[in-house]
Amino acid sequence: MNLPGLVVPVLLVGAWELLVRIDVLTFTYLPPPSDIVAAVGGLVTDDDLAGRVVHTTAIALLAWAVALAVALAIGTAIGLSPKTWRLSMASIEVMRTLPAVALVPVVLLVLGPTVRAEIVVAAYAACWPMLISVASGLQGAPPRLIDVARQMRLSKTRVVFSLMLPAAAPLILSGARLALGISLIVVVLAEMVGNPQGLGAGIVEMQMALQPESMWVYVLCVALLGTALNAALLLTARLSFSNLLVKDRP
Amino acid sequence: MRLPGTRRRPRSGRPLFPPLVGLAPLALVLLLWQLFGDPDSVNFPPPGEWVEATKAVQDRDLLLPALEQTLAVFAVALVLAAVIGAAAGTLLGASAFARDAFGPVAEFLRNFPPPAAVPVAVLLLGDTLTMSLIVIVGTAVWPIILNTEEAVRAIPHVRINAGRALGLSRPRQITTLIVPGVLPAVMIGVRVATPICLIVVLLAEMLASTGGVGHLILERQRMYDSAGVFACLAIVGVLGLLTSATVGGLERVMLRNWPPSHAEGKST
Repeated sequence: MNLPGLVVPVLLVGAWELLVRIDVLTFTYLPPPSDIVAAVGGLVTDDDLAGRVVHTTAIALLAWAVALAVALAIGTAIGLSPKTWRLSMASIEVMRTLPAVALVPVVLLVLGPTVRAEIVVAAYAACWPMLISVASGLQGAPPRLIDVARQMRLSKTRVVFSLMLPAAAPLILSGARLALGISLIVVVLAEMVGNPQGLGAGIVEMQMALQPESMWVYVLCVALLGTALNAALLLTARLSFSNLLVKDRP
Repeated sequence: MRLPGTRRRPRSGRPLFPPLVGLAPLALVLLLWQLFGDPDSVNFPPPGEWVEATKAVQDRDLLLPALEQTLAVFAVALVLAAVIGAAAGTLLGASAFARDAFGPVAEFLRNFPPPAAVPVAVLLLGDTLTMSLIVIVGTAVWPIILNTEEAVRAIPHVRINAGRALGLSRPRQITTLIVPGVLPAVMIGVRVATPICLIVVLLAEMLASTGGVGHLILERQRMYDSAGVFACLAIVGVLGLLTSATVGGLERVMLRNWPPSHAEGKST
């Protein structure tokens, strides 16, 4: 049991509460934690907090799924064929370095402030880490395994599916985790500057309305959502691919 | 000293950039877009229009000041992140107690989504550059902290003990034992942090009205100047490439004699 690890956050929150209450920390818009907790109830009944969480979660997951599918297809093609790698990697490198946040205005301009725009821009931003990890995971398959497969005269598809992809699984999983985080961030950003729905819009609306307690609630919701999605993904991966990922973590 | 006839150890395996032939698909798309795109298209103006739009923006003296500000904030933030990240990472790596005590808090802060952090910072500190810098450094510092922490933990105990046995003072121990051991890891962290840093700089500029290229893009979008938006996007893309290349090059220069030929240990 990590006692200091539990004590420090409690102390920090306690200090925040105390310092605001006794007017040592005097930012105009810094509410004490207890007020933030008290604001949750009002938001659930009056501002559809649950609906916002569901909207943002659903869009982020949908965009993530699209990104995974596209990235798996392209990443496999690049990882398996050195010629494809040579002829396309530089383009991918250029498009990957393009900061995703700069794309949000472009997509909003082309598709308008819609759910479709959120999904497109989040999927685009999220697919790169996944694509790179699939490609380099396949390229990094241990040569000895490939030799064994050749000795056993396995078909090319067999080699890819039962040998190379499993060998790349830990790397692909970490790519998928990165992609999920990016997807959520970009969805929230798109909601903040474009499509006025979900948690991102909630943050901006409460900021404009100068209701810091409510804004803090939405901000913490986004932070918790990121942690929860990440934990859920890790758990699912452990449960469904436990045979592949035993060596992933000590 | 190298023996005659031995070759210098190959530098870090990954090339800075994949073969340039690979740019062909992207160039082809842009070329086709230019040749067959409708110059008056509202949604997809061809690249030629972007150039016109860039000129139009620069004529009103908006572009260069914005670029200057974005690059300045980026550079200051990255240097701050490197210094703070290396220090915090060394502390976390050297002390198990610090790891236990601050680990959960660090984990929470590390996963804090930057778009959500900007409005909080704006409400607390106002639309100031200090606010932007805090958010940017707060996001970009994590890869550097994590890499440094790992590297400090990987320094063999024998080496530290040898330093103590030789009677090195605490500061000497840090400069001669710790710093050389973690420098490569810090630089890898900085390389990873570079694109993150640029992204958050743009993000802060988009969400707070502190000017810069991020602000310019959003402003163009709100005026439905699509060629202007695409022009800014291209400029930002070039910025991304240049900053990554600069930091990558800097890493190579700083680590060109790394690991030192007398050092023992793993080469990877």
